[in-house]
Amino acid sequence: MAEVNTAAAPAPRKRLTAPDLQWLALTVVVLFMLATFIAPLLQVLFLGVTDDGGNFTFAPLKELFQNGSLRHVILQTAFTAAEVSLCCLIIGYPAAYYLSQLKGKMATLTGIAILFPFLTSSLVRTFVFMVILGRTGLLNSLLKALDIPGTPFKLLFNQAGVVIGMTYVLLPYMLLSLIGTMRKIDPVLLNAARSLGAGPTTIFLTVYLPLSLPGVAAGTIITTILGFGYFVTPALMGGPSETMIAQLVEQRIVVMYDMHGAAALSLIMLAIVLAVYAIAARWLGLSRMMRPHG
Amino acid sequence: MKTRPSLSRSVLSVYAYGLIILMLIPMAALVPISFGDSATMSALPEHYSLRWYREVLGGSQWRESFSWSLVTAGLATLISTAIGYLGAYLLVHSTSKMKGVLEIILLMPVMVPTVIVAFSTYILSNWMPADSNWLLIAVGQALLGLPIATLIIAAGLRDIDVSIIRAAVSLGGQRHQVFLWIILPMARHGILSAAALSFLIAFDELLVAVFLTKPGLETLPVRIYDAVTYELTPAIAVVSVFLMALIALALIVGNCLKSRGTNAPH
Repeated sequence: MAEVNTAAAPAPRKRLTAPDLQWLALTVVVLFMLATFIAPLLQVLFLGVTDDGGNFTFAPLKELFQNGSLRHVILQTAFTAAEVSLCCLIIGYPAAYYLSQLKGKMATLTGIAILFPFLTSSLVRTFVFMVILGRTGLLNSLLKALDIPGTPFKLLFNQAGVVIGMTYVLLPYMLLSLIGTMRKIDPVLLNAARSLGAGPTTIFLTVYLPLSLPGVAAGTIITTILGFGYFVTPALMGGPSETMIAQLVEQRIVVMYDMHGAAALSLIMLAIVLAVYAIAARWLGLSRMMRPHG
Repeated sequence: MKTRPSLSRSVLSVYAYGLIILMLIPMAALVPISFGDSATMSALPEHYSLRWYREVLGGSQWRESFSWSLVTAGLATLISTAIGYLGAYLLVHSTSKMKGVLEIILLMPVMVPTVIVAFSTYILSNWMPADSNWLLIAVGQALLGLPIATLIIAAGLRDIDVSIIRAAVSLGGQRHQVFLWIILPMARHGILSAAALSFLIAFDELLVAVFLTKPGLETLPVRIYDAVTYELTPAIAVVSVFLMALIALALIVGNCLKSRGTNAPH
């Protein structure tokens, strides 16, 4: 009966109104995120506080905390991340200051020159530095040719290698976020300060530096958090004593099949990262932090 | 703006250009190495030949992992651009109070360390059929690109003047017509950049692929990682040169498109 009806007099095609479409989009996005990310992530967190029978236990976490070498790895990771991010800031700030003032063709060219390493595979960039810093690598060959005493320097498979490699890999993030913020600084403000009689140092310290701080904060947080979770560079360029947390998680999963241990480690990692974000978000705002140059 | 050439300025310019050159030189150094003739890596090869180019291009191993990377990264790009568009649409147009929660959910994969996202995908694989690993690698890679895709597309959508859409609707445009002929062309730049970045992120992704890899299913980054760890031959330099050439090409094409876009009259 109903079929006959619709065939005889088709109802005017119902147009999806905007709210309907929004609900449809929301359902698709939320279902996708729930199924592929939120649910498995909750399972990871659950594994971190249960045993094989699914009973609640703090044993995996306790084991990690009693393990002295783990405390070393966490400190090592945090220290490396902070060190790398500081290096990026110190190296990047003066360059970004200059590059942000370029206009026209030079601005485009230098932009591409920064984007090129930024977009190139981080594996490739890590490999590049293994070639350069190795015992018979480019740098040591060059220093030897120049008769610098003490060659070959040991620059690979130690802390120096990891910090140099990671600084190289993460520097574009810092540069892009600094340049993005510095470009938006209104030169009128600097001219105003100058016309009011301020010297270059005063202008920089009281006008320019404070205005560039959002970029500094964003770049520092991005490089610190990326550095904290980094895997490739420390895995390839570090020695056993430069092991970082991400490597431990990988080892537990791939080599030891210890899901509870890996999950407990992930819990600790997540707690530290979220704490950094919570502190940062208070004065930056979440989405601002994510797209300092967008 | 008045520019006074001063000593500090020229020091700064030397520093800035020097830093950029220092960032590029290491990558250029791989080119001569890739033409090396010996079986082991050396920073300054004594003899040059195309030996390792033949080895990489002729053998099936590198080609196979390259095509797996293309498959997973291509799929990942489709997923993260599509979901990213929907998410961006909601972030820009929704008036719901849930918007903040949605934003956090969508941005989470980039806030959480990659190894944990990879771990989640690995857990996901325990719930799925055993032969779905290639699909799950794509899903994990899509998750990592999703936050960036969402933000880029959202920025593009925010730039669209709402009055143009209103005008189209008031002139009798159906919803799908407005979407196809008005919104999509104006959001095109953001969608394309989002897709390009998602692809690069997925193509470079290592950990998800390491956790889900199995014989016969090896993406290029996994292959490179293994090669750097165990073999260390000039083949890696050859592959690196290829990847760099692809990026350079993409940058040039992207830049041409962009300058054409800004020159075109609106």
